[in-house]
Amino acid sequence: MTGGTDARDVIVECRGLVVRYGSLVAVDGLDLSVCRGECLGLLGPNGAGKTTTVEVLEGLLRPASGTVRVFGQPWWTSADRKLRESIGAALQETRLPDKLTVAETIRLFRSFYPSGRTVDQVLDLVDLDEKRNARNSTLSGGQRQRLALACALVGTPELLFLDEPTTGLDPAARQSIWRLVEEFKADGGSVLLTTHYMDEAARLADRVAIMHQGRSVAQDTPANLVAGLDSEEVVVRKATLDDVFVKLTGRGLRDEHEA
Amino acid sequence: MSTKPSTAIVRHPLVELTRARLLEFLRDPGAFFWVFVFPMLLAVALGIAFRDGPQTMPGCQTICPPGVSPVGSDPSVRYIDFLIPGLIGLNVMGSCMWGMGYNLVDSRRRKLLKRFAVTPMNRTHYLLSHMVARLVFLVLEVAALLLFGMLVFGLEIRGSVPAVSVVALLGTVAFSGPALLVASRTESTEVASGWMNFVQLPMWVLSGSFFDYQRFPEVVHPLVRLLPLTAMNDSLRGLVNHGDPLWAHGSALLVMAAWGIGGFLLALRIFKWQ
Repeated sequence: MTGGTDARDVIVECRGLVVRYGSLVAVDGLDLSVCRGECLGLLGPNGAGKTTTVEVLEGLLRPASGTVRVFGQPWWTSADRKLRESIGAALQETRLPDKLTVAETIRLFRSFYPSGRTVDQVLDLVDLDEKRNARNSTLSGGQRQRLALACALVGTPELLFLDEPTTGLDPAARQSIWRLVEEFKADGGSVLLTTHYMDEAARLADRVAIMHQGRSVAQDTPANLVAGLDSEEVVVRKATLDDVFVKLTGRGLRDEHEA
Repeated sequence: MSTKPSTAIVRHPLVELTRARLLEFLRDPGAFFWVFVFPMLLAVALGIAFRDGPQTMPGCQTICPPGVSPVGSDPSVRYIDFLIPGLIGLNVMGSCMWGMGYNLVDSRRRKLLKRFAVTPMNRTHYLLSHMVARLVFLVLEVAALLLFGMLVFGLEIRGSVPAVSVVALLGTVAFSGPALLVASRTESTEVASGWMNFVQLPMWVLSGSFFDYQRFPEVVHPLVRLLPLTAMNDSLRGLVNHGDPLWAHGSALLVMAAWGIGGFLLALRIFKWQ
């Protein structure tokens, strides 16, 4: 089930992760890892446990059991703040303060890090320089996402958590976000990406973990996952990750109904 | 990473957090009205309505027996002199609750707290920045109301201005504690509003902002004096109306400090960041 990880520098790792909300098991024994310089895509429907997993990996949520290591360190120690200096995140549901301007928002986030880029550098990086004095409430969806990325990149992180980074964006906006992520990776950064979009996972992720009901049902490169499909099932067109996903999660659902 | 870290000057996060808080408030016209304009309108309305004292109020016999002024035994203290410190107390309480508490809950609802929690931001700095921003506004709020009272109603500040400042400052600290506590867990602005009204309403009635709480049965006086608004009203009135020295209200100052520090420390422990 796990594939592609080797002796390379593993910077995010969880083993046997279990997370419960009362009697509900949100994550049910998950093994994951992200190597330096790689992008791991977490694919799955709502309720699969992706957001919960990411919150645990970001050190925001304590698991019921299992081990989590980021840059070789566990969370919930006095070294947490040091770990956070190397991490950036763009979380889908975050709504940045409406009444602050783009530059003021970035400046605020920059102040949390002991070192990083200047506001001007980051504005240039995400191409929001012309909007530096615009209030956040006036930004388009694509501009808001670029601002979220700006706040994530301002501390020059080594690891980025991206939660549904292009949901609800038009194709041009999606492309601009993808380019930024690819540039970050090209600079040696590592990414943990959650997404609904198969094309996004196929484009950005070096490996994909498909989550279903709190478990990882497959973890491999997009190409290997697609190649692992039975060829008789796809006769009309070239197989894609969509087919992988439907096959893996559909089979799971049918099994439960028959049980 | 090929991009070199910058060496440009970056201000302390507490300074930046406070600055962000101040900017958000100043850009909110509704908040400006409630904090500055509303208390003055209230003072004008009540000052005019009670310009002859509450003795002229219908049905007054039951609440102000003849010869006993509802503001105490000092005849030189008019109702408006009694009222303005009480309005300052109410104003500071309201702006702490709504300005701090509501804003924190809204930030949680917007998943902004969760976003901040992923950064190396010091969480104590975040909560402190709300209190510091409140203190900045406090200076303006209290000064505005006092000046208004002096110019429009001839209010006389018999105590020292530094002493009045200390009481106003402690009052802000005192209300910050309950405000942070109310805002510490919920992400629903409706639930938070309910709790804030629940916390403030008893003090609106009992703490002596509009009339002397001595009129309540004596058995409840010790409890009433433990409320933060009562402590602020009592000490502020003592200074403004009677020229008392600060140390004469030591127990009230202690009550305010306890609410503030105790509330802040407890809130820091139970505060939900996501």
